Amino acid sequence: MPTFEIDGKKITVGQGVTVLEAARSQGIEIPHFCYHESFKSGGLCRMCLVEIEKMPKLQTSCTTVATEGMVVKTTTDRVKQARSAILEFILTNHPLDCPDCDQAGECVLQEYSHKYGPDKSAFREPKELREHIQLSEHIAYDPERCIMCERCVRYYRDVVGTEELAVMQRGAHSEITTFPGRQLDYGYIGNIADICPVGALTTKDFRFKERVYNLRTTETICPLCEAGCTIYVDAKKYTVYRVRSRNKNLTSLHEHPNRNVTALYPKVFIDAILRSSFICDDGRFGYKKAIENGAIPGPINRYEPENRTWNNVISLVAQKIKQAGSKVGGIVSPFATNEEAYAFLYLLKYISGTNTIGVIDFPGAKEFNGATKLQLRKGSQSPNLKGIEQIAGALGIKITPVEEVVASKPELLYVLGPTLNRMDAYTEKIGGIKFIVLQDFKASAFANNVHVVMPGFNFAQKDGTYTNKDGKVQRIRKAVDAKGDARNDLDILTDIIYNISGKKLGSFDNILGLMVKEIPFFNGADAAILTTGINFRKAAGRLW
Amino acid sequence: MEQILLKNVEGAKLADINNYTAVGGYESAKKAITSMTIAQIIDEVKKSGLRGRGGAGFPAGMKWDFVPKDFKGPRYLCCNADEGEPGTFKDREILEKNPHLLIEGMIIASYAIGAELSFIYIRGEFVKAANTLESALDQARKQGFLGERIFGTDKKIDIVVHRGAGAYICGEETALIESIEGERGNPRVRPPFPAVVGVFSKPTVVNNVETLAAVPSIIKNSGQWYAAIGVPPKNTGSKLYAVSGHVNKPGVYELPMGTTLKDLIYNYAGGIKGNKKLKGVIPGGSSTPVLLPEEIGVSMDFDSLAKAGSMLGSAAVIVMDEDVCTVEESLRLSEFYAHESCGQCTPCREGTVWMTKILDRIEQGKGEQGDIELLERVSANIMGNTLCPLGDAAAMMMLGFLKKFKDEFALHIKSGRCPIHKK
Ligand SMILES: Cc1cc2nc3c(=O)[nH]c(=O)nc-3n(C[C@H](O)[C@H](O)[C@H](O)COP(=O)(O)O)c2cc1C
Ligand code: SF4
Ligand code: SF4
Ligand code: SF4
Ligand code: FES
Repeated sequence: MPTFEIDGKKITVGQGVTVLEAARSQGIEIPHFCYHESFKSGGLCRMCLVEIEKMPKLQTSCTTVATEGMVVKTTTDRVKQARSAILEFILTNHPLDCPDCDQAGECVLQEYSHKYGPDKSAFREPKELREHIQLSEHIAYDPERCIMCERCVRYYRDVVGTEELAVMQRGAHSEITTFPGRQLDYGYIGNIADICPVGALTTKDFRFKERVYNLRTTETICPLCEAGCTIYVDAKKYTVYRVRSRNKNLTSLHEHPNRNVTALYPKVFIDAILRSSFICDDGRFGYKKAIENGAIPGPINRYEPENRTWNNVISLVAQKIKQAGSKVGGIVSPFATNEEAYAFLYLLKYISGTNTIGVIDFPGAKEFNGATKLQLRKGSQSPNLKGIEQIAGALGIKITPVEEVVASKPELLYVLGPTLNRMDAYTEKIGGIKFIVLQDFKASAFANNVHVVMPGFNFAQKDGTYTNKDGKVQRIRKAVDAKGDARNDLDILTDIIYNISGKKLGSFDNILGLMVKEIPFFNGADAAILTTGINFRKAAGRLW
Repeated sequence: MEQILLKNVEGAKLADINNYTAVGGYESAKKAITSMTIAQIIDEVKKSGLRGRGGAGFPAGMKWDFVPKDFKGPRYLCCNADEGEPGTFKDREILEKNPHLLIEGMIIASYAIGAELSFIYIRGEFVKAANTLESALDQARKQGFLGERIFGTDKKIDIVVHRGAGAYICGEETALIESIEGERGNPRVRPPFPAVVGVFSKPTVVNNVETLAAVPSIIKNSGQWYAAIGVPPKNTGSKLYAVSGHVNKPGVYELPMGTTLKDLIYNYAGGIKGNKKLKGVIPGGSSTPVLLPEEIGVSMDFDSLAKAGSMLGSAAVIVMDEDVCTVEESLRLSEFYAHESCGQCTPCREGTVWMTKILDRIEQGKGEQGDIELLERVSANIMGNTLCPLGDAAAMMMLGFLKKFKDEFALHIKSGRCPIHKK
């Protein structure tokens, strides 16, 4: 474990840790473009040059391994001059079209130009113009904006392993490209838009849609399969504009989620975690599936059409549940949060005395291309199946197929959505059931055939936790407001429980607290640590 | 001095192995393989003072010694025959006219570093030389000098020719290694150095053609003998000087290291064509800073040229007479570097293009106040900040011209035209 000095501070780091990584672990920012924590550095951009005693030239800190007794300086005039020179070089042929570049506001080049760049450029020659190229249906490449950091190339080489991108031409004519006549395979392409430090790679999904600084970023979890990848949702008011991986693009140290870990944990471990912070293309481009429009504007009561306020509907449902006694059938969507599932199962078990529940079935999450090293997809397209299983198990409730619940002809059928059209197949089969209640955010054929619809929230509108296939409990967060008269599903459930029994379950963190106490599986979880999904706290043998 | 590298090459048809062995060829290789230890060979080469002829002048014996002795598995020797530096055409002389000398040197060097397979990375345009080499290698194999059980011993050494595809950067040793591996010829970050992680991640020595071709004579006559030639102790042996430009007799001259530039130009190369005045000389290939007529008394060796603010480089002497426009000349060279930059690293990729654009403007009479300072600043910002020495080379060239011919640049800018071409 070498001890060395950086900006006057003596630090000890692991064997083989680079100067840049070591600096990062100490909160010292060394600007860099081509270095990226997920793959090997090439020493290309030369932005990370630092002064090292006894070495005549400045050295690239991303490739220099810290050794015993090394003395590194990151703030000398020579270093500042070199940074400013590199930025001036990069900007010579950069179009500076920030006003219509999607990256503006989260662009590393912009950020560094402000912090380290020259006040003005001495470059007076005409710039060379180049056309943008479509690398796939989803990704556009603007060679003018490309700074040739080759992160995208190394991502395909080291992370995905398919080497679909390469540099063509030489010198200032260099360009990123695919094999002639081929486009990038769908599956893991979207990540290159996140790791590109500038606006050279943009997604069709987001291109020219909105300025990033008008968007609010929320850390949440992808709901499209059981892997439960960590994502950012960028949104404004009611609308989700973009889903991104939480693999950091903005290289500012303060934002780095594991800024203290590189020096402390073995490299392979870190690699695994960082790799897992990429997401798949279904997660990135398919989020609309989970939040589609067609929202239900307010409660629907086909049983007593004149009573359509929330109070009416809640007391009606409460009264019907009381009447049905133990003949209540319950069906839950695996898109429901742990807290909703708990409240729902609590209602079935302790209030109605029902001992079975149906879980809506979603198809398997297929891997895209067997040849890729990166394989994130897990289980089915049911983000919280594992959580529901754990809670049901703890409460002694048996999970049965949805058909059986429907076929058992309960007095009252309660479906907790989102159903995402997966209940439409049962529209015909529910004929004889006297009272059917649905909580869902979106209209469907099934919704048209039930007695009461209580409009709820989609995953981007609410707070809660999901448990992924590996048993990691992770926080989902409200990113957008809901339109109309919809209500938070958890509040609907707790109101009904209160109405029937006078029991107050409280908000999602109260319920999480209850689960932590009552369900061994949740031991050690608390709302505060369930943030990034890559916390290193070990609880009950799991990584939270 | 008796010639070492080009002795007998005119007329004697040394590319034929029979002619080569008739004058004592392959005796040194046989001696090394059958009667010397690795340590003895390296020691002899160290004593000779032989320094790399590819440009940097690194001591050859020391380089061989860096290969980890305890490494298990293959090691490789690469002969750098890319010869891409503008003005340089000395290696071709050996490749075409004395290929067995190179092969013999490579057998000895391969043995010294423990390599069973070696590569000759040859510039793509050298078609004739590549063919000559291939047939020379075949001849050597037939004689049992290459292949399995060479010289009747249990040792195994073979050599393959790898042709480049015409990129200057592939002469840089780590780009050369990438190219041999079948990758795009991009330089690698150092460390690790090739001696530790080279071709296919194995310990590798890269040596220039001329360096390797000097080895047989050292083994034959002793390191001490070689060290007595030239300017001992640090600039020893014979040297190939490739003289081009405005001289009466351009060509390759093998002379003792340390021959003066003046002697080379006026004595051996027959002076300036048409009795014109000398304007400047690039002493060691396009990357080395230009010298003025009053500086040509300099001895053409590594250390003397360094002291004079230039470099021996590849010892390619480019002579320019009074009609040369130094702005145009530096523009041409700058274009070359911009064209040949691999484009991996920022300062070289962008800086060489910027430099070229400014020079082009000045030459066209559109120079502006401050352009000279700007060229100096751009060069200084490239210098020392690049991944490989190509960027430095471009900057060195530029700074050399600016230092020696600043007035001419200023005149271009002031008069708004090229004062030499009178455009
Ligand atoms: C851009 C560039 C081009 C080079 N081209 C050649 C070349 O064509 N031939 C050569 O022998 N060395 C060339 N070199 C030098 C090699 O990198 C290396 O130093 C040399 O082959 C080592 O051999 P030596 O020790 O025998 O001189 C080049 C270096 C650079 C930076
Ligand atoms: S497209 Fe982006 S990530 Fe790829 S080389 Fe260019 S700047 Fe880097
Ligand atoms: S692998 Fe699953 S959780 Fe991860 S991004 Fe894709 S769909 Fe979402
Ligand atoms: S200095 Fe030039 S040639 Fe060398 S690595 Fe950088 S861009 Fe490539
Ligand atoms: S970050 Fe080190 S060279 Fe690019």
